[in-house]
Amino acid sequence: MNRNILTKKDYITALIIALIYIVILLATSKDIGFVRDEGYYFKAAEQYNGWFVELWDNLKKGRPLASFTKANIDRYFSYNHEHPALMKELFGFSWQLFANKLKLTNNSTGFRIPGMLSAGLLLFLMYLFAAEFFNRRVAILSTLMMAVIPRFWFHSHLACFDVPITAMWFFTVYAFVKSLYSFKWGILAGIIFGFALATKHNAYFIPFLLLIYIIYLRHNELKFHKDPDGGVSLSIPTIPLAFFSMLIFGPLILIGHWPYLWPEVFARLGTYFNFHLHHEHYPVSYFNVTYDRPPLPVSYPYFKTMITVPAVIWILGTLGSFRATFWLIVQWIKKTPQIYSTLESRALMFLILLNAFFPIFLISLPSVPIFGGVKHWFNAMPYFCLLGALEFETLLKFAISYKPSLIKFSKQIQYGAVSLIILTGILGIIYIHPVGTGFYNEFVRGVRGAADIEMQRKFWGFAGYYELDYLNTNLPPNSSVYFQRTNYDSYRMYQRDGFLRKDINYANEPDNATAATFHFQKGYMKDLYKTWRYFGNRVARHGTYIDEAPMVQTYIRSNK
Amino acid sequence: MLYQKIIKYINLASLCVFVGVLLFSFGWYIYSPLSRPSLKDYEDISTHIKQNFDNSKDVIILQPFWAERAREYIGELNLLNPRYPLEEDFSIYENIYVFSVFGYVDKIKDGFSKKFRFLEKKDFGKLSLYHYKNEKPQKIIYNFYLNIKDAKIRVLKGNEIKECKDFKNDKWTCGGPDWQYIGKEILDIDGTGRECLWSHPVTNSIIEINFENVILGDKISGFSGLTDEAVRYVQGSPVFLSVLIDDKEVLYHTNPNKIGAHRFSIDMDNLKNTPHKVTFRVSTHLDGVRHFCFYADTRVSQ
Repeated sequence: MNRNILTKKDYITALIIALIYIVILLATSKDIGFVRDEGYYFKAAEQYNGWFVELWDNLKKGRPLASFTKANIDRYFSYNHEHPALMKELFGFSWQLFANKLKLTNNSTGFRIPGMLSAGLLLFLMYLFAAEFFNRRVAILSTLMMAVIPRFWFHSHLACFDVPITAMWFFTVYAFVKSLYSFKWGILAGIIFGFALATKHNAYFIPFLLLIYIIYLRHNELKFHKDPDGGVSLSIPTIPLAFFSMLIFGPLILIGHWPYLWPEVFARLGTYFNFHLHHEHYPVSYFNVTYDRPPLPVSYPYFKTMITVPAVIWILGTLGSFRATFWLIVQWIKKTPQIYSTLESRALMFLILLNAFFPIFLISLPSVPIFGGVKHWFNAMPYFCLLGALEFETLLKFAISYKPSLIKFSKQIQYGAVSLIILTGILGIIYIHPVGTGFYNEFVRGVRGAADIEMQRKFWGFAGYYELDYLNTNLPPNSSVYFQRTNYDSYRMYQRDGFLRKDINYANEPDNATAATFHFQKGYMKDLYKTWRYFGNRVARHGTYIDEAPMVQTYIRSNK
Repeated sequence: MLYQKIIKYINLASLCVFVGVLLFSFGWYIYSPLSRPSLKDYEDISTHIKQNFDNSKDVIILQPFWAERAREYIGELNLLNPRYPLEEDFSIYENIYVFSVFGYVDKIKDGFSKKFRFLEKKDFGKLSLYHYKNEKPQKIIYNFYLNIKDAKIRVLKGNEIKECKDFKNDKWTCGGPDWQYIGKEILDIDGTGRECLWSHPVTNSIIEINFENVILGDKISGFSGLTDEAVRYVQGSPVFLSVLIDDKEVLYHTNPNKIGAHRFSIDMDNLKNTPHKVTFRVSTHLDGVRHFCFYADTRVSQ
C-alpha cells in the first residue's frame, strides 16, 4: 500500500479547514436552541467542574483527600452518572475558562466549545487520514463533504456526545492503522481508545471492527501445521501492539477520568452498562407510524441516511461503497490484484467499508433499543464521505479518459465539480439552519416531502428557543409557559443567558399556563391537543416553519 | 475485453447518475424557495375567507394537513386539518373551503366535487382557495360530546353499580386510576386530532353513559376508535361500543386494535322528533392501554 508522507502543508491545510469550521460554528452557536440533553449536560458539567474547583482549593489548603471521600464525590458526580464524565468535564472546564473567567462567551457557548472542537478535530483527522492513505484531492473533498452534511453541522454546535464520539471513533481507527507501522502509535492507539471509551459507549464496538480488519489483513498468517509427532498446531496472526495497549489504557482511562466510579468501581460500572443494555426507547416517526418500542423496520437507518445526507453526497458515497465492495469481491474471487494492488490496500478499503456500514447495521438490528436520530450512526459518515470522494475521483478520471479533449480542462472540471458538490451541502445548511434535526434532502423534496410521509423532523425540544422573542415581547408579567419538550434545565439556561425574561415561569402542564410552545413531533401530538383544549382556542400566535412545515408553534390561553 | 466494456458502462452509468443528481439538486434548491407562499399571501387569503365566513356552518380544510402556518392567520375560524379529508364527514357544513398550500388540493379535488358543488377557485399568490357548497347540509340537533355534563355515568360490574358523580373540567370521574373518566378530549385517531369523549373501558365492567330525554333527529351519527398510541400496544383487546335507545340496543360495534376512526350512522326515522333515553355502553375484555373514545350527535337532513 502506498502511504504518503504527510508534510507541513498537509497539517496546515487540515488545521485551516478545522479552524474555519470551528470559527463558523462559534459564530452561529447563538442561532441554535438548547437540546434536551444539553440541559442535563450543562447542569452536570457545572457540578463536575465544582468538584475540580473544590479539589484545587483543598490542594491549596493542604487537605486534598477531602475531595475524594465517597460522600463528596457523590455530591458532585452522582447527577447524570449514566454517561462517562469526560465530555461533561470538558464542557465544565470550557465554561469555567471562556464564560466564567475570561468572559469571552455566554454560559451556553462556554459549555458548547468542546463539542465544536471535536467537530474540528474530526475534520482535521479526516483530512490527514485521506491525505496519508489516498491523496490530497480525496482528503479535501471527503473532509468538506462531512462538514456540509446539514445534520452533522447542527450537531457540531452542541454540548453533546455524538460529534465527539464520531471524532474519537475515527481517531482510534486511524491510530490503530498507524500503529501497524509505528511503535509510538501502538501505544497512542490504546490511549486514544481510552478517551473514546470515556466519551461514549459506542466505543466498545471499535475493537471488534479492528479485530475483523486484522484477521482480513493477516489471514495468511492463520495456518494449521502438522507436527512431526502427528498432532496439529495452529499459527495465529501477529497480534498488534495496539490491542494490548487498548486493553491496558482503555479501562485505566475510563475509570481514571470518572471520579463517580472510584468509591465502588465494579458496582457502578455495572450500573452504567446495565443502563445502556436496557435503554429507554424514544418515539420515532417513520412513514406515518410512530415506533416507541423495538423493532424498528430494518430499512430505517439505511433509508434515513438516504434522505438526510445531501443527495449528491449520498449518491457518491453509495456508488463508492458499491464500487469498493465490488472490487474487493472480484479480487477475492479472481485473486488477481488490479485495483487494490496489495493485501494492505485491500484491507484498508475493507476497514473503511466496515466502518461505513457497521454503525448503520447496528441500529437496524431488531433487538437494538429505539434511539432514532441519525446522530447515532454519525460515526459511519466520515468513512461514507471518504468512499464518496474516492468515487468522485474515479468518475473524474473516467470522464477525462472517455473524452480526452477534456484533459486540458481537467483542473477546472475538478475544482468546478468539487465546488458544486460542496455547494449542495451548503445550500442544505442554509435551507434548514437553525433547525438542523429537520433536514431532509432533495430526494424527498426537503422538509415538505418529509412532512407528507411523516418523517420525524423535530425532537429534543430545542426549537422552543425560536419562540422566545415572541414570548418576551407579548406575555404579561409573571406569566407561566408550558414549554413542552424543552426541559427545565434548558429553560433555566435561557434565562441565565438572557434569552428569556426572568419573570416567565416554567409550567409542567398546559392546565395553568398562560402560553405554550408546541414542538411538532408526532409522538407528542397529544400535548398540542391538550393545549388547545385547556387554552380554549387553536390559534397559533407565532411559529417557526421550514418550507411551511411547522417546527414549533406558540399558543396563548384565551380564557385567562 | 468484455470485462473492460462492462466496467466502462458501469462508469458511464455512475457518471450520468452523479451528474443527474447534481442537476436535480440545484433544481430543487432553486424551485423550493420560489414555490413558497409569502406572508402577504396568507394575509390576503385569510382576509378573503373572513369576509363571508360563518363559524356555525362553514369549515376550512387545510391541505396539506401539516401546513399549520394557516392557524396564525385564520384566527378563531373553524379550521380542520384531517390527514385523509375524503374519509371525513363534512355533511353538516354548508360552505367548505379548501385552503391549499403547494397545490396539494389535487389529491382531494375529484372526491369533493362528487359530494359538493364546486363554486370557485381563487389564487392568492402561491396559495389557493377552493370553495365548495353543500346544498343540503345536515343540522345537529343534539351533540352528545358537547352535552356530556348532562350525562349520567355508571360503571356496571356484575351486580355492582357505581355511579360517577364528580364532574370537573368537562370530565366525569369515577374514582380509581386517573385514566378512569368520561370526558371531553382531543385525541389523535388515524393521524388526526379529533374531539371525542374519552371512555377508557375497564376489565370485566361496562361503562354506561346515559342521556335522558334527547329529542332525536333522522339519525345518530358519529365515530369511535382507539388512539394511534393505543393501537401500538399489540396485545390490546378490542373495545365494544353499543348504543341503546330506551334500553333497546340499536348498534353493537367492535373496535379492533387497529388505527382508524370507525364511523357509524343509526337510522332514527321512526323515533324522530320525540324524546328518548340514549345510552352508550363501552366495554372490553382486558383494559390494558385501551385509550378509546367516541363522538356522537343526532341530526336532521334539510
